[in-house]
Amino acid sequence: MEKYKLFILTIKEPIKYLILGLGIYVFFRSSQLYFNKWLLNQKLGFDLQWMRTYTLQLGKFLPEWFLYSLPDALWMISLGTFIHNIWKNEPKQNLLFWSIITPIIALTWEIAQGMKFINGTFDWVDILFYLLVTAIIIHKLKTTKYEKTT
Amino acid sequence: MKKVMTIFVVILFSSLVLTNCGGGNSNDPSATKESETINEKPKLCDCQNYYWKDIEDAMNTGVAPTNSDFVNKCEGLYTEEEIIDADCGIDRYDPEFKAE
Repeated sequence: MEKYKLFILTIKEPIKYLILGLGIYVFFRSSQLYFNKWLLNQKLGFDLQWMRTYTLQLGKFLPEWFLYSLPDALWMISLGTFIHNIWKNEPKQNLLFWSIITPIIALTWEIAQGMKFINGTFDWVDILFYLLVTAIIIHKLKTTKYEKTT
Repeated sequence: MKKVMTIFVVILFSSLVLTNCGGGNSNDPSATKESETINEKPKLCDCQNYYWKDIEDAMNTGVAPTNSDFVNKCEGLYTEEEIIDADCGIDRYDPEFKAE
């Protein structure tokens, strides 16, 4: 039971961020996105498409950073929180080492898009958001109480 | 154990980006930021015609089309009510129809 509770605590916060980002994708982004394509072909596709006729109208008034960069930032903060929750009770250098992975993956991904190694759109606003999330991760690391020391 | 879990989480999140599941820009070249922006606004009656086509296709296949003229050209431009209520003189898909 204790293990189950710990697992829920580990995934609760990251899942929240991920669902928020996913919501932006589902309600405000093109139906050509892989996930939206799949979702709209499910049973709830009809109702969802109906809802999207309204949310996409609303989306026209939302800023580009909200539609295109915020989901990426939420994805990154979700991964960062996940890793932080897994390693938070470990020695500081372990937590630091694994926490660095998140910004590295996100920035590498964006740079690879810019260099056309992978499909997608390079955007400086995405980079700015990734740096913001990196600052949040660093702040979280600084405020974590380390239970074990080496 | 924690290392395995972390690697699993990293792979899982990377796959979320690849499938546009809550993170990352689209990996579908037809859905990059530029192409997601609708440049030319089609007329309401053209959209109604495309809408009838989608309804027909959905009734035939049982699933809502995701790559149709309506989805690609009209999605987000008009509400479903605006499209249905528009007086365009057509009540089913007409391949020859062109809004004036």
